Amino acid sequence: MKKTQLNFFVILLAGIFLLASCDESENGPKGDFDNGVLVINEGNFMAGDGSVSFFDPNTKITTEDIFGLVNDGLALGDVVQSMTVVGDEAYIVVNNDNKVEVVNVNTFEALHTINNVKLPRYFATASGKGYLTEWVSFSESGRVSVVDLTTYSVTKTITTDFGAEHVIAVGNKIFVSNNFTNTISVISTTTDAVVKTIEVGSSPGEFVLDAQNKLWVVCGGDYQENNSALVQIDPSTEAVVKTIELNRNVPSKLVTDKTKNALYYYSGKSVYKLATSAIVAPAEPLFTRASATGFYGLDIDQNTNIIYLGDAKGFASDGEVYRYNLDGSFIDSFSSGRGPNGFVFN
Amino acid sequence: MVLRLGMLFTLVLCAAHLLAQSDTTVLAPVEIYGIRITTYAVGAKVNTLSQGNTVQTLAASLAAESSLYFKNYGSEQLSTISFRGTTASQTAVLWNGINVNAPTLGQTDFSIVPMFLFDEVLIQYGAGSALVGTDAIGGSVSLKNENVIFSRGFNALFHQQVGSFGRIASGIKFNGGNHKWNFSTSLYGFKIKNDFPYNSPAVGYIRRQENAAVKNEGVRQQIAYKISETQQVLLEGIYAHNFRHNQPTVTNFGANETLDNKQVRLALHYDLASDLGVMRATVAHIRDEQEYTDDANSLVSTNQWSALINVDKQLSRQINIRWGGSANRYEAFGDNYPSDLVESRYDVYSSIRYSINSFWLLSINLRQAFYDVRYAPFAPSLGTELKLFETKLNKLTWRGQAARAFRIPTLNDRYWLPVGNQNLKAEDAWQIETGINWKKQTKYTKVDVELSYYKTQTTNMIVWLPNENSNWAPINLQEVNINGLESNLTANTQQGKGQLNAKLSYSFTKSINERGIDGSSIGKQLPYVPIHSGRLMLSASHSGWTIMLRNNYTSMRFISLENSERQALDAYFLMDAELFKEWHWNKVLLTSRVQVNNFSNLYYENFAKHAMPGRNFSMSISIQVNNQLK
Repeated sequence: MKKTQLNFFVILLAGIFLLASCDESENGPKGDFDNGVLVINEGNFMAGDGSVSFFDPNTKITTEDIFGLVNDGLALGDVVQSMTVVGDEAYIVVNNDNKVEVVNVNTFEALHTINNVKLPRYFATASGKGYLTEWVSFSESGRVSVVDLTTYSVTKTITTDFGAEHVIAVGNKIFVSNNFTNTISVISTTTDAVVKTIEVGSSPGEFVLDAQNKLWVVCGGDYQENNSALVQIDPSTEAVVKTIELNRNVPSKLVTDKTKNALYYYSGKSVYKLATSAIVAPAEPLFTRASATGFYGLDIDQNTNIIYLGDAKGFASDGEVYRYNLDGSFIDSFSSGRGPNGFVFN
Repeated sequence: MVLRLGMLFTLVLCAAHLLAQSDTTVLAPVEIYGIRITTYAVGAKVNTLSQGNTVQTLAASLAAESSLYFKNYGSEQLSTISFRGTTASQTAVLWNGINVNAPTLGQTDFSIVPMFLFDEVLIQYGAGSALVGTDAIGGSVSLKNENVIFSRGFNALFHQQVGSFGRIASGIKFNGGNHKWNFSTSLYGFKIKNDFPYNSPAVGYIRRQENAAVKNEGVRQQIAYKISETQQVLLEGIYAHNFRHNQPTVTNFGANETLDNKQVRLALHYDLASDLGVMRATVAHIRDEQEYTDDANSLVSTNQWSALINVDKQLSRQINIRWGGSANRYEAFGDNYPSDLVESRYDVYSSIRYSINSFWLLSINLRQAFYDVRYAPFAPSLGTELKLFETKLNKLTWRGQAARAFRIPTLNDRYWLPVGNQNLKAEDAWQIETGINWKKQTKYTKVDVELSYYKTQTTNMIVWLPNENSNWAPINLQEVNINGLESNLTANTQQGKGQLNAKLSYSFTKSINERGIDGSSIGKQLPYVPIHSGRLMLSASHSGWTIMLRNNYTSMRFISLENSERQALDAYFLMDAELFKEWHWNKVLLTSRVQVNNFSNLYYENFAKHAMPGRNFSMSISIQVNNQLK
């Protein structure tokens, strides 16, 4: 059975390879996975089954666990939180294994493991350096580790606030949402020190930049309090521009489309769209998927404007990814690994 | 006197099954105990394991049962059961007839139940709610101590074990008294570093396990007083403490979680034999504290008070009846429970066992449970047993049972803030079972063959899923249909001073999801239920020496509802061996033992990405003293 499975993958890979080569006959492919969607599958907590799936939008073929496939069955780890592409490398943050796996994003060959980090969450680069957020623990302040991108070593750690979560670079600053609090830490990438702390709503999560180069952060709110909010911040003045109350509980996912004039978030089984110019939250969702079990990941391919929505299926089985057009019309779906929580469009 | 006897290190109840055999007449029990509950389980499969004389967990004691699967999160780590293809909450774990599954989570961690404090485990396969109440859908596991025998003298046991990866286990037992009093004390300590090397394909190189050390200790004290030939009182108390570092996944670096479990069990029994029957009345208190530490601490504790009454009466040579009831009061404390969480539950039941004639037996058991102003499903069971053929040396029996079982939603299901759902229904199961048993005996040889088939249909199974607010909440959703076959063969032959034993068991379990969160899981095997599971034990003894081989085959297990083969855990075949020698001197029995586990050094997992140890060794010595006087 193992063997047939392997053969199947070989054939599958060969197929992908062929198709990929057709697409990029001029430049030649950089690897089997350089033209498609990488699905980040968090895996079930403590089951160590986090993975990355590769979806080819042209062939509609999904290859599961490409890290294991390429690297002789090695496991990516427990709670694969996020993946950030830096050049040809992807930094895959494995939260509950306290590590970051660095792979070649096109071939998925394992290159390096960054250890000695504590409950890492997200990774971003600025001023030629890597910035990794870490929760550290539930009873201590979170921190940001500065990573040397050539040696993969941590050169400095910067303490922020409890639950250091998402990180985004804007010019020579990085913004860090401290998820267990209501603060955003601003760090200068010149001095690698916290220069300001901004108060926003409760439980800040992901950031996006809009077309006006304003920063948005989604605040999840307090458990069951229906007080989630979207907060717009001017990254130059580091001041809150406006706050839009969402009147519901929203997870920490926030994305924009190609125009960057609209924000997208989900709650329950519905996806909502909010123009960046809006001052109140939409009452009606953009669309609802009643048959879904529970959304867990959301992103929009900035080239095609296709919405990718991960359903974790209660973490009891493999996940499913739904694709929608920006107008809310359903395209199709494909299965992924367990707990699809995010996407990278390679 | 307690002290004086205590100073002689040990006692022994555990040895009783071994030692009692030669002393059956002396130790004949007073007729103050009712007949065993399993006597009413006509048509059901039951098994008793006597294993109280080594320091080990309940999970380890049950390892030889092929119809049981344990999801071990590593060696000596969290172990939850799947009995006959059911979920971890669908096995009742009982102590003195009281369900001791955690009322919050509705399940037992079999790795923190110290077998050393008990004398035997009684396993009832299949739907047993009519006899034992909630949770007994897959089966029930009862922790037992032997009935007290009032006689002068004492028994004592001392056990010491050392083994690989820093394993050290010590235990002492003492039981002694006279015609009026009986005292029994058991004490144990155990620790293991668990820094075993493992070679997981998911890691690609040999690593040493980190953060998996375990330390346990516990004590059981029992005092019994015989008021008269027809009355006695018995007080027993248990304290067990388990501290462990939670073994992380194989790919993990820098884990530092720990879990600290404290268990308190107290019971006071009053036994009375009268014309109305043999009665036992019990009041008990059960307390559990669980503190999880991952830099930050979280503490959950539960209290349970129980009062039970059970009456057994032999109406005639053919008819036994049993009736009784229980009242249980639960409290749970923790950040996620309402501060005033208190719940009472009541059970009433009755049983009848009727020997229609010398070859036909019938039993009917009925139970109704009430909780939180609700009724649990009425649980009847009907069982029968028919001797098809019997000669002096051959016996062929057929048995059958139909039963309903239920599981009351846990306190977490109903009260977890803020998503607990008070409207949840109990999980509801129907089971039919049939089996044949053939026993053959010749002058030197005994053979016992048993075959069983069962079918269990469970509805309203509770699953936790994200609700419209993206918060996880429980709902009645899943339906599961289980079909299983079990076969057991035991054979032994004795010639002169030599003896050969063989035990083979095989279980086939198809546990199929019929309704779930979506279509992808329909028709699929439940995760962590091996379809094939087998055990083989072979032993040979000669003049006090015994060599024993134990094999365990467990087939591939899926870990997800839609049965992804990519993630499934590989099948494994494990081999353990042990050699021991017994020396008898008058009233002393000395046993020394050498054991090799997993001698092919196989890497295997019982829970995804959690390593189990490779080849490992242990040595132990036990000294038992049996000084029973007239």
